[in-house]
Amino acid sequence: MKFKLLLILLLFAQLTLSAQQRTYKQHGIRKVETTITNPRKPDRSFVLKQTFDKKGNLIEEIKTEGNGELVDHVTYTYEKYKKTATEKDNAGNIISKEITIKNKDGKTIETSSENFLKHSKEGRKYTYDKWGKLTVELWLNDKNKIERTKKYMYNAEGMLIQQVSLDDKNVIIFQKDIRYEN
Amino acid sequence: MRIKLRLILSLVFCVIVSSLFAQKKDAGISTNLGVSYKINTRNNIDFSQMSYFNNNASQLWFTFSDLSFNHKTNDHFSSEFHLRWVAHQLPNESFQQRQMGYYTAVFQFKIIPIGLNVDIKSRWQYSAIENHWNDSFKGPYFYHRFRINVEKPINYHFKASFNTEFFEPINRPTHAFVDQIRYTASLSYRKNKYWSFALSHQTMQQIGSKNPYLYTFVGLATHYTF
Repeated sequence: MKFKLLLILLLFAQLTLSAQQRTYKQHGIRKVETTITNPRKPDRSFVLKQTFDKKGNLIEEIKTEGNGELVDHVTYTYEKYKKTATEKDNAGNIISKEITIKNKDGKTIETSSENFLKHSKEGRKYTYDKWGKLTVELWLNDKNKIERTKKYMYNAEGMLIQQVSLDDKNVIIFQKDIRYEN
Repeated sequence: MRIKLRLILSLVFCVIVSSLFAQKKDAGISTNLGVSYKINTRNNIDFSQMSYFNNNASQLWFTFSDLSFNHKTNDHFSSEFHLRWVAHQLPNESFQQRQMGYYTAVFQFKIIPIGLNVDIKSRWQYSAIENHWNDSFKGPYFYHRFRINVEKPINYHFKASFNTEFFEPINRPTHAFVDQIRYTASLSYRKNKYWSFALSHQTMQQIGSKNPYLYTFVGLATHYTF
């Protein structure tokens, strides 16, 4: 009995990680360098360097062009249900910040992004029903006012059947209806 | 056509495997009506009413009402807390009352390369016959039940599964390690997120007795979730 329980607990510990986390953690991988070469369009070639922590979470991404010029430098920090992505320039100044908050089911419930160069800010909030389906998506402006609302409806089998977008005055600006047939 | 053939083959396979020890002493049917209320994605309350008819399905053997609270901790672990009230028909056609309380720890994982879902249940139960104020009171009886279930989803609507359950008595005077094994093969049909139905074939094999019983039951289950 004790042996059976121990086996189950060991299996459970491994299964709580994502597939990528498990792979990197198992191999002890902390850094990955990917080189994309586009012979037809050399200016689109780039090098992506990724760094991971001990748990297999991505903590830094540096993208440089073929000539070594920095394109993107993003660092990621993690709290329990919150991920913060911070983009910096060559001098280390913060260009933008994006915060993602997830619920216990691993679904995104809130995102907020701020661009310090463009002085813009926006946010989104997501609501799910008890079946785990996305039902409402709110787009918020820099004053935290609702700019747009997206509503999703599903049939009894959980398939999306309608998507409606509403403006800040709750007027329908877009509607998509989907019908399924066997 | 391909899906129908797979369904038929799955059902035949499940019935054959579960009937390997076909030394029939009794056969019957079981019925199950269940209702589940989803509080949210992680918690639900279940109620089910199940009845077993033995003697070649000619008489009611026992019926029970089961109330449970189920909590899903993550994709791989959930807990169930159950209370059960049983009415057991005796040979003199009177009914004996039994109560049961149990906790089940459920571990789930997928074998992705072959598309199988596996769950392992460890159930710790307490049961008693009649109540403490009655001279016929017997108990408490403690059991650990260990079940491995393998499930193959065929498509959105159909799933085939097979499970084996071991009954380990904790406080029986026989000190047996396992005193019963059950094999269950079933085919379930999910109409939509609210309704599902299942057809099952269950074999109950007693272990370690001088004259062990072997019962087989065909089960029909209906479940509504809201």
